[in-house]
Amino acid sequence: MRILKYGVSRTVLISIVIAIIVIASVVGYYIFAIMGQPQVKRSMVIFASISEMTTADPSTEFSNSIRWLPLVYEPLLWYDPLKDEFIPALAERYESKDEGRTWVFYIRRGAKFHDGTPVTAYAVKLSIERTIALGQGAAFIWSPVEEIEVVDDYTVVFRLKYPAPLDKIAASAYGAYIFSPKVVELAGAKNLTDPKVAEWFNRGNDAGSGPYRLAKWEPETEVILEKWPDWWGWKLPDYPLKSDKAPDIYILKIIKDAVTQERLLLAGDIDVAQYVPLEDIEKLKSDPRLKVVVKPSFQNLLMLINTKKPPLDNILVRRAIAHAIPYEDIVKIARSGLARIASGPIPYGMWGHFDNLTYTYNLDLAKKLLAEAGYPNGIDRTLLLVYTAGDIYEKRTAELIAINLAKIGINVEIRPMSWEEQWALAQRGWEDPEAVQDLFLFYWWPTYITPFDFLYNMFHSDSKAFNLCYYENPEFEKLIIEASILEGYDEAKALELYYKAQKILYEDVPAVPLWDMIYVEVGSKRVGNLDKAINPAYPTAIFAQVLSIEE
Amino acid sequence: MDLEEITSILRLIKLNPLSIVGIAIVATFITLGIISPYIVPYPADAWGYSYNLETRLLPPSSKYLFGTDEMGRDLFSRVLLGTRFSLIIAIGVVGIALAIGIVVGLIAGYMGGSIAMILMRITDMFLAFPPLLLAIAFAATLGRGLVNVIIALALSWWPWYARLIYIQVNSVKNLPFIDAARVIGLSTTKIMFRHILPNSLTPIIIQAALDMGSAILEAAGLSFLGIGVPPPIPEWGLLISQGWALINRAWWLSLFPGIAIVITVIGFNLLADTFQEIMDPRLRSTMVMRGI
Amino acid sequence: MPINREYIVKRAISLIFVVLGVIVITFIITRVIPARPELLWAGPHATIEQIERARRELHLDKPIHIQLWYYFTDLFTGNWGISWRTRMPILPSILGALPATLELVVFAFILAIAIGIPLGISAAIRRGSSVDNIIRIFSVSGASTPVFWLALLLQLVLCNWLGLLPAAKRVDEYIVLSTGFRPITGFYIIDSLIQGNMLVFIDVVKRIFLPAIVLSLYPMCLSIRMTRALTLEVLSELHVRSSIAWGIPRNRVLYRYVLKNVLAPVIASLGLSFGYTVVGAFMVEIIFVWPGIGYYTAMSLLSYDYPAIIGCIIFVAILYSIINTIVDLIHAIIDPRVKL
Repeated sequence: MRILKYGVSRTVLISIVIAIIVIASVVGYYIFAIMGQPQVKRSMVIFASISEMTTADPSTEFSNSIRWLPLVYEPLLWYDPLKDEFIPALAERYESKDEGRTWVFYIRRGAKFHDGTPVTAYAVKLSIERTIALGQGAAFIWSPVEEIEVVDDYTVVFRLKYPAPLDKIAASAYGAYIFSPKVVELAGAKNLTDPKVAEWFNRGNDAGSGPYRLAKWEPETEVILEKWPDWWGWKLPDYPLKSDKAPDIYILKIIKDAVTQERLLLAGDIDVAQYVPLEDIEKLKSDPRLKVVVKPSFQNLLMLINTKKPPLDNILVRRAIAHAIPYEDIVKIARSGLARIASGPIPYGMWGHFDNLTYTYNLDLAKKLLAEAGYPNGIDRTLLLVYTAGDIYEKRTAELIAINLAKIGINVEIRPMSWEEQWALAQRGWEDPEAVQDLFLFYWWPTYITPFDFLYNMFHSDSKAFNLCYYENPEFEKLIIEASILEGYDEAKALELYYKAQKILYEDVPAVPLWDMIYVEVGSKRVGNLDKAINPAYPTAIFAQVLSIEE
Repeated sequence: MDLEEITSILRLIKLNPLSIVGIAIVATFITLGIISPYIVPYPADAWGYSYNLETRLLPPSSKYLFGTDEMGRDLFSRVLLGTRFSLIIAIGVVGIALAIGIVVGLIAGYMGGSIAMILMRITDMFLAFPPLLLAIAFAATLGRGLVNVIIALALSWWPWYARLIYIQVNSVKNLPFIDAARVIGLSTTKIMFRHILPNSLTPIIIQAALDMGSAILEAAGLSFLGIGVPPPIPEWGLLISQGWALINRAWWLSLFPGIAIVITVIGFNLLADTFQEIMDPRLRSTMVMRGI
Repeated sequence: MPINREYIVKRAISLIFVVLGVIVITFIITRVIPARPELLWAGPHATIEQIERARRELHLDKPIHIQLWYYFTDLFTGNWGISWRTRMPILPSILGALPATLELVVFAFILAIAIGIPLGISAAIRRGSSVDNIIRIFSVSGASTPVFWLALLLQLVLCNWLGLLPAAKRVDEYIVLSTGFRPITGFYIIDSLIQGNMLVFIDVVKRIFLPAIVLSLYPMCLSIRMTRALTLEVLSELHVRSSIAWGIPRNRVLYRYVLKNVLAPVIASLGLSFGYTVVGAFMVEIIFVWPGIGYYTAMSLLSYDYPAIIGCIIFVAILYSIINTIVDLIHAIIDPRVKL
């Protein structure tokens, strides 16, 4: 056997050596070939999106497709909430009459849809009427509208049932996009509300008038947009929402985790990452190839309290909880400092936000309040706190809350649930508050920029879907309804009422606002104007037309 | 087992250093699984009852052997406590799967006929799924939780045992001593459990040892896919997947729990190899090693 | 070589049986275990109307055997439901993702065989030596390593720290768009060669390498173990020794007797490990952003997209059964010793 042993093993060794040589030479050839090839430069930006796209129908889309909709479609107006001013889009100018009951929009002449048809008042009417008729997504924003009247080709009048800030509604991030009426014909549909139109959109077609058009639609992996040279904005020298060096091609690449986004960004595989591990931001800031843009957002995290389930139906217990939460530690640990401690349910930077509505973290006060409420030794029941599985910021926040509530004698079980389970569970709370969660970590961000959106959805008893505190307070409800009407014509008075309403929430504690998120985007240096391309009123969208690509 | 047999087994083990390594790993794992809650250096960190702003994301040091996580907790304590959960999962999964498998396999093997056909066809249906895939289906349906993970894995696993036992029983049941037992009028159950089962156990024990490791691996896989054990349980797979979010900043968070898994599973695999050598060398290469 | 028709028919019938079994089991998992399947099916934010529609679509108002019948017919007519994550029909999404996964898995298997068989043979030849022990330790530890963990670490070290390989993605969009590359078959390696697009080809190979190595680990270890065991058997067979005595050159002994006898059973055994590899791809693809079935499934799992999860499970299980059948048949054809 000895001869055989050596003989065979040598053959094997030789074959392995040959294999290694072959592989090495092939790899070497590739590396050589790559070095020899000049890198092709194209004006292109790849943007990493954390979630896949949803529908491509501008009327019903109410989710992730916002990342590209504002590039392909335009509303009547854009809104810059940080400066509190409007930027004209398809409407060149507008006016309101009758104490906010009538709004007249003058449509831009020369604007065209991608299919060549001109943008007219008629198209505006049809688009918005389709959105209202379908009644999905953000269609509710148009509920004040009584009728839409076309005066001439370039003048459209909205008559409202009651005063409302229609300029802000028309600048909504969802449900306010104008599209070509030709879709009926192109989709072979009977009318605009025919499901065939939605199917046509979801096959990757667009009917917008914006600076980009949809070139490839693979909602689960990538979406490619192509610059549309005929956009009216490119020709307007002073238009603020554009750049002469805007990318020719804009790619949305779906990359579902922060670490991979960061890695691809560092490798130059993508140009803009929206989610990178927050712990790494300091390191990324010092990287000369990158630029970190930090902007306030209107997204906040709240802990909704089940106000109908003992002992949480007791205001003093709720106040004790509010004072037992370490807001500063949560911001530092959960978000690595990239959030602001919340002050009331309206996020920082938004009209209607007030600075004096933060609870102090004071365990002694919390214990005292709990004792006053009749629980000097803490609560004998374990409270259930639910949060959305997979969200590490919520997870860390939940753990920190649980650890601190334990210090005042309130035991909390934290349970990650999928969003739909969580929501289905919470829905039952209106009928049977005893059977559902006690505490609920909950993100909110507005559809269009008004405090009413936050206050109504989460705290008005008619909003059964999202008022998951099960909070009912007629005084509060009257205040916010009144304020929302005043917002249409008397902002100062509206602001006063919004403050009163928030003060009530501060005292009643149906929910504890935890933090207002700060958005972070990291881009490669060659992508200029990244900070200008971000607008918190259109969360997660990047206005690629504003970017300036340095080659 | 008489003295002679034991000494011969010991000699065999002594001959193979890998066997000793395997036995040592498994013994350590089981011991740690039992005593870890009492010996972890930072119990509050291990169970997730604490946080510390000052000690966030520290690299490994003498104070924190495996470093600390984003909440400032000692990772060593968490990994150590993780042995307890891995042990629970391993025993739970193999135990339940074995129980179902033995009952189905014995009944099918001993009864034969159409009962065997039906039972084995059902078994085959389960075996048609790639491993772990069925567990994913069950776990996704049942929802997250330690018990659900164990049930999901056990439900997808019993057919392996059922078939193994079925084959064994078939090879044993016509041996003369079984006939003898039948002739003296022993009841069917008695024959099955007293005479047939003990004589079919060898390959099953090997497979079970192998599967302890696989159960840990697959539970980790479920955790990684987000349908396994929920936090703050310091299950190893979950620790790895949580560490993934910070891997560029803190590599230790994913490295150490992974090493714990690899060492433990190697231990069980080596142990299974050893059993195989001792009990039935002919079985070499017929055993299937699972993995993810 | 005569092909046994009876065997093929038998195998085909058993395949049909297995596929039916897969369908029945998934039916039980989706319709019988959950308390209210329509809630899982309708997804988050579902209105009462949508839930009612899901109920009708699932035929939950009918007796269970009728439901099963509809379940069958829906699956066979391609009506696999709508993903509520993407609002797209599921089957086309899965089929669209299939080439990416197959490309990765095939590449991984080629690596596994190309590395595993030589290692297994050399371990067997030097049985008991330190080389044998090292290879054995490698094969045991390889099968004991969670693929997702290995993928994370290799990605961290090779891509992030050393910068040797691209971190993730299947192909670079810059190169694709600037060279006008168009997928034809969906297998990018083949497509780029057909089009003579070397830039894309190089990029694709660079990017497939790391995920494929990680995925190949399990089948590689399995083939090492199988090869080693089989080589030992072959070597102990008398005629090999006698052929040496007759003076046939040694390397021909190796090829004729060892490799020939080992190759077929090893490849056949890898059919089984195809299942592990595809499931391993669930985790590897998510780490490397590889747009295949694994990525689709993992994404569906992360968002609890129930209809899509079940669709993927049925698809992979059926694919697995078909591939196993094909491997068995090929094995039977090339290796006449297999009992027919």
